[in-house]
Amino acid sequence: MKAVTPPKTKIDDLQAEASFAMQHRRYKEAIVHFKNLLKLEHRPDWEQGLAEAYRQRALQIADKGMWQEAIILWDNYTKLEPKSLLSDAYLGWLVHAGQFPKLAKLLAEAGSVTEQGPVGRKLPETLAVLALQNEKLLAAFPQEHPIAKHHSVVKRAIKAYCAGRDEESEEALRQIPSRSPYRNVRTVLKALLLMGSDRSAGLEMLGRVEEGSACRRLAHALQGLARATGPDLVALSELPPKQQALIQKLNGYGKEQLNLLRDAKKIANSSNHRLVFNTVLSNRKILGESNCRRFCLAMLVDFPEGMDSFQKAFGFLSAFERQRIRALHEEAQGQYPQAATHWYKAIEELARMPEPGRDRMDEALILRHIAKLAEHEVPEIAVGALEKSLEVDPGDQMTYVALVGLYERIEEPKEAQEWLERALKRFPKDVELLTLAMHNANRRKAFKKAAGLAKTLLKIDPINSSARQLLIGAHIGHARKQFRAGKFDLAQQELDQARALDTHRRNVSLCIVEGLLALRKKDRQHAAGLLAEAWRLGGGGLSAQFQLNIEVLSLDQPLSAVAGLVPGLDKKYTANRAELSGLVKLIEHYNIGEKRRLPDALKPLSPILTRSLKQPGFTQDDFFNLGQALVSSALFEQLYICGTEALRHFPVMAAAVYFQVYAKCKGMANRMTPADESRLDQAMERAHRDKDIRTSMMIGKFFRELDDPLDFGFDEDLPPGLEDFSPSMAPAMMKRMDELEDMPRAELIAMLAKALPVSLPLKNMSHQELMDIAAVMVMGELGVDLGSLLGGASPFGPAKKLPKSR
Amino acid sequence: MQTPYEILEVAEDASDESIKKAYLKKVKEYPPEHNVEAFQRFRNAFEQIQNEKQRSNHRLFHREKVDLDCLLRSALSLKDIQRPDADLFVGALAESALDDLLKTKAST
Repeated sequence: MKAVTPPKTKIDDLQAEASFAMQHRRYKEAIVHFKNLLKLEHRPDWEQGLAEAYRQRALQIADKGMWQEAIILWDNYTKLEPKSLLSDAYLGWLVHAGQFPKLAKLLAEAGSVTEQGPVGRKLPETLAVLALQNEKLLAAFPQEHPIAKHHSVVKRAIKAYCAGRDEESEEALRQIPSRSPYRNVRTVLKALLLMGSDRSAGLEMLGRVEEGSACRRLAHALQGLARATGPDLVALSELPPKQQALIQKLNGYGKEQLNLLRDAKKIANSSNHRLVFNTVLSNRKILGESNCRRFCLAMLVDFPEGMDSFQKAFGFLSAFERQRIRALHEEAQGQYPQAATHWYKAIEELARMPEPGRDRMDEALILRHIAKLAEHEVPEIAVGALEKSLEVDPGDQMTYVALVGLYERIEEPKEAQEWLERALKRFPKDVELLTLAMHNANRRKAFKKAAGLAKTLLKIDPINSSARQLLIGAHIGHARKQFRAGKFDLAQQELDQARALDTHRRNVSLCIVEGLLALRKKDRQHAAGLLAEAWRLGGGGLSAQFQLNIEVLSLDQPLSAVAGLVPGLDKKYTANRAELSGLVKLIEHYNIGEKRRLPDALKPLSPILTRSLKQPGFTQDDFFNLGQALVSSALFEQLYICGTEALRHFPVMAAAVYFQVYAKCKGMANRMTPADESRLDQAMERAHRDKDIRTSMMIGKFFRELDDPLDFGFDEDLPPGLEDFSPSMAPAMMKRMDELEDMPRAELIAMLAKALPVSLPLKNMSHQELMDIAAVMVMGELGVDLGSLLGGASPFGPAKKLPKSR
Repeated sequence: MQTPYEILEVAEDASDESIKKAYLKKVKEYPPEHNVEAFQRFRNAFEQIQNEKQRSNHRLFHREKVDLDCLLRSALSLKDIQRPDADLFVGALAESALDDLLKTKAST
């Protein structure tokens, strides 16, 4: 019979469709097309096409977890391509499909071809382990295969171990070769045998189970079981059921422990305090009464509602203890006022206790604790609590220190001083208190007292450097006074005492004053030596020159007095950052005591300062620190330079705008022009936006001087005569009063005597009385009609009108 | 979580002197140059209870850390290891092996 040749067009169409389906990953269709083509004619390229379509389709549906279907397709592929290697993916599908007998058969037949991928590598050991519980699987292996060959000895070792016949088990394990697929089972069993007598050796043995072994997971779970700190309960609860059951069995858990384990799962990582508390309480028998009590007591701070249950389980909680727990609970919630309320109630409960057993120390400690809670938000409450605590326990030095610090913070200097004195009476040799008192006296300008305290301090603590420096400063201060009064011998005596304290010759001021005294005594050579030493100690730059200037001026000497005795600064000299920082420190230092000399001392250095600030390398912080020092010293000329140069370097520096404006209106907010106000307003906004808190606070404070000048105690209308005293004049008045406060007594008396039209016994008056008179004079200077105010003619003549305020 | 008394191994009513003695003993056993962490632990414990005032402060204001895990572990920790039956052991072993194989990613 003549063969029927199919029409060419049909083959072409089918070929095109098969090719199209392959290109578009439509392998199912491709299989049909290739099959149809092969029905028409047997061509090797179509057979290869069909094989590839089977392979690709198998991979495609295995991705969807259709293992059985994938296996069938792959089998079809291998029939067409018998020389293809056994794929690791295929082995994986057989595992997922649970076709272990087929796997065993493949493994027994193929051997090395299975060892291609991760699944293939694990297969012998896994099948060996599975064969331990599956006889049919074992039967798939020929007798000489290692899985079958070593099977019975492994079984014997396991049975002997489980029956407690350790020697027999060990003997069986010795028969398992080191390349056997059971080698890791052998290691696990050895570890369990060891663990009975030596837990750490057992743990160490478990660590020897090979990485990637089929026994690795169980070994890891067993390691968790044997940890000295106890089992990892979360990990245990996540184990599959048989491994969990094995661990529970090895641990010998009974019904109660298993119940606890079940409950532990519920409460692990739970934030439900009630659930945790009640679960622990209900398991207290197994958890141990004492451990459970301690846990629940600690937990009451988080869950005070549990106090009644706690009492029922473990006995009485005193009323004091209940308040203590509630207070700690509120503290943990950040509710400090409520916490303080419970602490006060706890103190009340303490007070109800009979005197012999009552612990007064607890009361004091609770009061100090309340003070700590309140010190930031309501320091007044903290102060009250600390004072009360000292009534109960007056021997606590630290409480005095804290109390003084708090009083200083809330600007109650009198109280601070009073408590400092009380503390010193109780602890006269306490270095911390003496240091505190010394600085306190210095700040109050009670220099004599400060020096006395420094002396006491040095007797107790001879290397106390702050006391030493303060004492040196006090002697130099006295020497200046004697110098100005023309008592040069007395000045020398003071300087000698200072020199005895400055053993390392580090004090620049001392050298300068000694040099100037030598100059006064016409000992020019000695003077030159001392001044050169001072110049060197001061760094020989801008700050050295400034210190020299101020020291010369403070002795009422002209700056020209030292001309030629020190190298001085070149006309083109520029200062660096370190010198600028030194200058800032000196301005701050001389701002106490020598404030009025600052402008004259700094003025000759303005060109150098301007030139220096033009140089690159200064940071915003450098300008900020300098500006602040100049603000507090009212050095407006230099402040303006500082602000201007800062803006040249940092055009959007908000603080620089403030320095310029502040300098321009000489620190008086009421002198600001609308343009200044607008600039400053913008600067404050920028500072706020940039989170530059210190600048925004500084500007905000200045603005508040406009709206809310200092309160002079007048509720509404000012008394007759004071209508002229605009509240915005207050800052100017304060500044002027500051200047007068710093003035030496003799100078102040001379100035008042000159200003007053009548003679008053000024020399017999106290400093405060002199300052009161000075205040009236300053008000007159600022434009207040004092005649009207005092009901008659002004004691200082007619008021001098200042420029009209805003 | 151990209390400072437990860390230094002293009774809660121990005197200043015996607490100091216990602390110094610990420092001798664990010198800071050899074991900084242990030393720090003993130092912290000592600072909390070294005198009566500190002890009162600790008693009144210290919040003991709630350690549920530690409490449960102490009740469930391994005492004497028991022997399972062979089926359970083999079953757990097979479960672990199979689980491991199923989680193994095949090469393609």
